[in-house]
Order: sequence, then C-alpha cells, then structure tokens
Amino acid sequence: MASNASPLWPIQTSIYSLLTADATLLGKITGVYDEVPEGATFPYVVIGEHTLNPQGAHDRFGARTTITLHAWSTYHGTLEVAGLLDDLVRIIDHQTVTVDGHATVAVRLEQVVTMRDPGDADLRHGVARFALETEHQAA
Amino acid sequence: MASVIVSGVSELKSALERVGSQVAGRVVQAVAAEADQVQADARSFVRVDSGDLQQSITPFVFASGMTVEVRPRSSASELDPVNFSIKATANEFSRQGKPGQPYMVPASELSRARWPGRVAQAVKDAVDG
Repeated sequence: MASNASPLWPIQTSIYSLLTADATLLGKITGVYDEVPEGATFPYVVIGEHTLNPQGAHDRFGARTTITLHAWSTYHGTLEVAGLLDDLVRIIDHQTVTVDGHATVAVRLEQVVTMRDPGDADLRHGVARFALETEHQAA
Repeated sequence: MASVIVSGVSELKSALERVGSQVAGRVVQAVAAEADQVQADARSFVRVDSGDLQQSITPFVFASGMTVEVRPRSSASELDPVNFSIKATANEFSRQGKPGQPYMVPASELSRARWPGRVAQAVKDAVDG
C-alpha cells in the first residue's frame, strides 16, 4: 500500500500557485498570504484553515480536505469582496488542481460567506471554503 | 390464459409497513445520537475563554426528528444576540489580525464522514429487528 502522507501542504502550495498565476485576481489585490505581513495593504487574500478527513478505498489511501480562503477589503460595501470571492471560485471550483503525490478526484466549492469584521466596521471579510478529494498515487 | 396466484401479499405488506415504522424510529434515534456527537465535537474544537460560546453549542431537533440543527445559541450566553453572533462568527472565521479557530466546520466534516455508517446501521438494525 502506498504511503499515507497528508495532502494538506501540497494542496496549499497548489492553491497558492493557482491564485498567484491569475492576472485578473492579482490586478485587484496586493497579495496572497499565509501569514499576513505587518502593514500589508488591503485588499488581499489569506489562505486560512484546513480540515482533513481520511477517505480511503480498500486498496489506497485517500482524503477529503477543506481549505478556507479569506478575502479582506476596506471598500465601503460588499462589491469588492464579492468580486474577489467570484475570482476565487472561478479559479478553483471544478478546476484542475494538481496535488503533488496525489491524484485529485474532485474540487468543489463548499460555502461562501461575507461579513463585516467585528473589530473594524470599515473592514469587509469574505470567506470561501473548498473541498478537495484526493487519492494517493501509486509509487 | 395463464394465471398466477401470489399468496402472502397481505402478510408482506404488513411486514413492510412494520419495518418502515421501525426504520423511521431507528433513524430518528440515529439523528439524535449524531447531533449529540456533533455537539461534543464542536465543543471540543471551540476556543474557550469564558466558556459561554462552548456551552451555547446545542442541538435543536425539528418536529419530524429527522432534522437537527447544531450551532451556538445566544440564549445560552449573557451577551446580547448581536454581540454573541459576532463572537461566534469571529471565532469560526477569524477577524482581522486575530486568527479564527473553526469549530463548526471541523465538527460537520467529522459528521459527514460518520453519518452514512450510522444511518446504515440504524436501517440494518430496524430490518434485522
């Protein structure tokens, strides 16, 4: 049986590569961050939280991984953050996401949420969560 | 013309009706058990300060018993509903400069994996009597 190494980090790096290769998205934001640098200018996208649940078949390891992306904006209204969320969905949902060491079975949008930031009424926050189902590739 | 006589239809019909009601009862029990597990999982994942958010995570069973909603409820907190909602949301999804600590999504992902087995067992138990 193949190794059961986690697809979590390969998924994050692949998502990061997809986002930073998209000229339309990059034209709207100042960066895509894992850890936001101090003083970063809005708007930007943050790679947030993951969940990973094992989802193997009888002869191979597999996983269902969710990855949550955050869009942050100081635009007065939902327009900008909604546009960023649209871009995230366009780039990722049902698209080919190459996950190193794993075969990607499905890439699906799970949920989109918009909200105001509780600490700053001028900040708009958009959340998009995606689920990726992967299987380990044979060695 | 050939004819076919089928016997035992009424017995089969009553047996299916009996199993049907047993299945419904078992599934309602499974839904309740799953809700309790989601509550326990979410409470184990949530960030705990005062503990009111953790304690507020409770199931609400709809009348049919087939649907349960598990989430934080402001009625269990001393905060007003608006501020409680902000607190619950910010903990799940983060706020600017302060990372989140998701609790409902991980709990629901565990349930997603667990539920098919639980409901299948409930149906099997009902059929097996």
